[in-house]
Amino acid sequence: MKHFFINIFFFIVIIFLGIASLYGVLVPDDVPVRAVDTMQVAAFKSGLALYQGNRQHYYAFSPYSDYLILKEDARSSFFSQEEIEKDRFTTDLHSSHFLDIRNAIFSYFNIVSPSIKYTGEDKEIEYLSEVVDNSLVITRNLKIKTNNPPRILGTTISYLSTDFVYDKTGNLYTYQSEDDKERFASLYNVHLSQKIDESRIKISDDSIVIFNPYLSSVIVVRIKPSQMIYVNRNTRLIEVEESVTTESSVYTTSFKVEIYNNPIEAQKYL
Amino acid sequence: MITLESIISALLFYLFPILIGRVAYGSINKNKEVSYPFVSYFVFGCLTIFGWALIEKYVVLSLFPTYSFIRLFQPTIYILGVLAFFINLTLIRNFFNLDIKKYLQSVLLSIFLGGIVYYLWNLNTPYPLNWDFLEHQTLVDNILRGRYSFVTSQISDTFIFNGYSSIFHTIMMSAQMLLPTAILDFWQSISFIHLVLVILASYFFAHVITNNESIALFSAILGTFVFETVTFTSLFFIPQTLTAVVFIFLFIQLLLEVKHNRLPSISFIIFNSLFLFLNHYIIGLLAVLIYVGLYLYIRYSEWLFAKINKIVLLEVGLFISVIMIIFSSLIPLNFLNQGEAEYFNFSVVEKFLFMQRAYGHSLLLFLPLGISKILKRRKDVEVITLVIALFILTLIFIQIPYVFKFYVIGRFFIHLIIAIGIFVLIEKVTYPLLINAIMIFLISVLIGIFIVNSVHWKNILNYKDILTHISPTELQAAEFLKNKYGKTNILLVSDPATQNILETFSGVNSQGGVYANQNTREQLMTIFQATAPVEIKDRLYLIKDALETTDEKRLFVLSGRYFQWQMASKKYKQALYFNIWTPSDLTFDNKKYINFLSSDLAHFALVYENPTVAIFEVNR
Repeated sequence: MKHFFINIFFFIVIIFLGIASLYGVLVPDDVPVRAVDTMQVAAFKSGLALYQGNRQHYYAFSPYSDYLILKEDARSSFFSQEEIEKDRFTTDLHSSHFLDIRNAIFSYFNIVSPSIKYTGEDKEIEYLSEVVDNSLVITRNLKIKTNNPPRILGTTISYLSTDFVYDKTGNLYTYQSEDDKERFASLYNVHLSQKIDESRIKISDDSIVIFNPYLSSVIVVRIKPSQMIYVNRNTRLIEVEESVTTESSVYTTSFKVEIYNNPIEAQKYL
Repeated sequence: MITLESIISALLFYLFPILIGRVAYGSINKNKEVSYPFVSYFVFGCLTIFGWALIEKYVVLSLFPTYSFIRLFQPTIYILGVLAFFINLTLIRNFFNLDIKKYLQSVLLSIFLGGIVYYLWNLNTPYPLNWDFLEHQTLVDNILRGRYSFVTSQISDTFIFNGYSSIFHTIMMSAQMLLPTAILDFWQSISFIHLVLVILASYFFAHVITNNESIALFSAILGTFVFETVTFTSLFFIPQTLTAVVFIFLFIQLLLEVKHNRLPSISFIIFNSLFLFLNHYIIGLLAVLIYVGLYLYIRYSEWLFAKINKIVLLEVGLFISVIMIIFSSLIPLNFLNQGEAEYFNFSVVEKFLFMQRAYGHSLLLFLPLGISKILKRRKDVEVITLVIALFILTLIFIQIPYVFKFYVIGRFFIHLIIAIGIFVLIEKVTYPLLINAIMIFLISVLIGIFIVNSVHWKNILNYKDILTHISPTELQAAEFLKNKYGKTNILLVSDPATQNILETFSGVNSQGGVYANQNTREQLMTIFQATAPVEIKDRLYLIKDALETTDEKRLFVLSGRYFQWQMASKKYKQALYFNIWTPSDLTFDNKKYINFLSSDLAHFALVYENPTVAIFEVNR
């Protein structure tokens, strides 16, 4: 019996020391990262973001920019200024070192994709990503306790002031110089004509292209038939709106983002 | 990718000197028996080949200056190779006297463990991650082109700090000359062989010191899955890691010779020390210090400890160690290797974090157990190992540039102590099922630590769907350069990382490769601010190679990396340690710049373009 207990005791001690050894390993901050063709997606405190290597340009899917449209057509953000200033919500980002270690190992084998969950007093917002080849599917699950349920769910992707934002017919929704438009046409055989009369433009297509002149990638946002795209030039956001058909405690919305090497390639799939 | 051809070519790095060394060693030592003879053959063979190369360079060529080194050396290698092969055939009977079974199990284990790590490390990674291989291959290629010297900086201006002689490159050139193969395949293969040797060295080292199979196995497992940054012992094949492996085998050999009452001669020690020193001056010096120190201890310890109390000696040693760690930061040694030394001068906290990244908490948890067991057992050879381990640990934590590199040797000693610490606990468990469960669990923990460590290392290397320093499109550009300009004296100019890659794979010369000098860096910075192509052209001609005279033309390479490098701060652009490590494709904005240069048809001719690289031929 004593022999048995000695064996079990040292077995437990070794297992404990082994776990403690693993616990001590340092995990990089941006884990997990998934490659989406020429870009990467990772979770940050402000949401999920697409970026390219160490070029400092980020395309964010963030609860700070997303919104709801309520029954009276009032636009409501997910977090109030007070909630943001007083940190009245938490995220699950790096909340557990063991989870971080697990994510690091799983991401090495491309088993896990970046996600982030925000938990507030009366809401829970979760962003999930799924990568298939050159496509990234962003899904947002929104759980809210409210007496004023939303009519429309708004999901956003940020873009940058230098970006070319255009649709498949060549309507360009951001300002670019004539030289740049000509150069774009000569390089990629896509002729763009500026359409920046309004500050918030509704797009009639099911896709919109974001091309950053400082990245070697093209982002195509592709929506479902039940969704609408807007280009909001004031806030520099691509807004994807989806009507709520049935009231629920959890509202789920998703759309696809495709990454291509250059506009010539993207144009084939528009 | 490892192919049969590349693995044979890589094996020749070891086999060729072994074959030569067996003949050389046999004739000097009259076939006297020695433990682990292969390491002696390798050392003697390398020294013989290197010696021949130096004689041809400095004696024969001074008498016959019209001959080129490579025209003389190449036939020498073939003749030596053939002679050594046939002489060794006549000695083949002796080969069968070796106890193959004794080695076979450990070799197979090492190959198996090495295979696991090799697979994990190379996941989504088609090209070697050992960045240094580029400069070593460039040096080998320069030797193959006829430029040879004892001093590496006289062969290639990529080497601005002469940290070793050209012995490593002479042997590598010989192997690649005997069986040429694709460069990337060669380096993947030799990296795998090196990994297997590191594991084997860890195993035999622990076995000879403790005479315990289990401790040897734990040491081998640690040697497999621990990968430290800065030292790169297991996964990068470079002079410092080769020095460490050969040193460990020599250390093992010395202990075994003492066990068999065959104390080696002083000349034997000198030859081995010479090899270690020539292979890497700094690591080699530490290796020689320990090796010669061990030899002297074995020879004179009775006399020494009759005069001096062991405990007093240990206490004085500990005191000196503490003083060195505290006051070392006051010593001004940043002149060592100019700007790069600054990057390799880590604080104690940073060094501790490097260790934590490689070991998790296993070092802190199991090392004290191992130390206390060694002190309790008081077995002489184990205490010596402990003293050496603590000596190296002290050196590592001193605030002097580069000392962290000493861990390339230190890790074998530390792993032994950790292995003893693990054994202290496991030996208490007697149920086979529990022992097997523990082994599987501990290996899983080490694999987990290794993978997370690999994520650290590889996370910045995302390029499309692979993790790499080099892109397929850069290799295509290099192929173009090799075909069109490979035999010319044209000078290639780009950011340091692009220069490094293209020079290695094309053979087209650049100024300094990844270690471009300050003049080149200043000119590149000014070029980026220039508003007219003719100004850029003028600046390109102010970049001059230190070793080679160059044509009137220049090749100006604009890559995604080049533009990213130009966007960095001045401080980083001037620093030798800063590079754009990951490939980048050209952007729309980069192409505007390419168009801007193309507008000057008189001076800039765009000769090649792909998504990653644009190459201009520049005329004066």
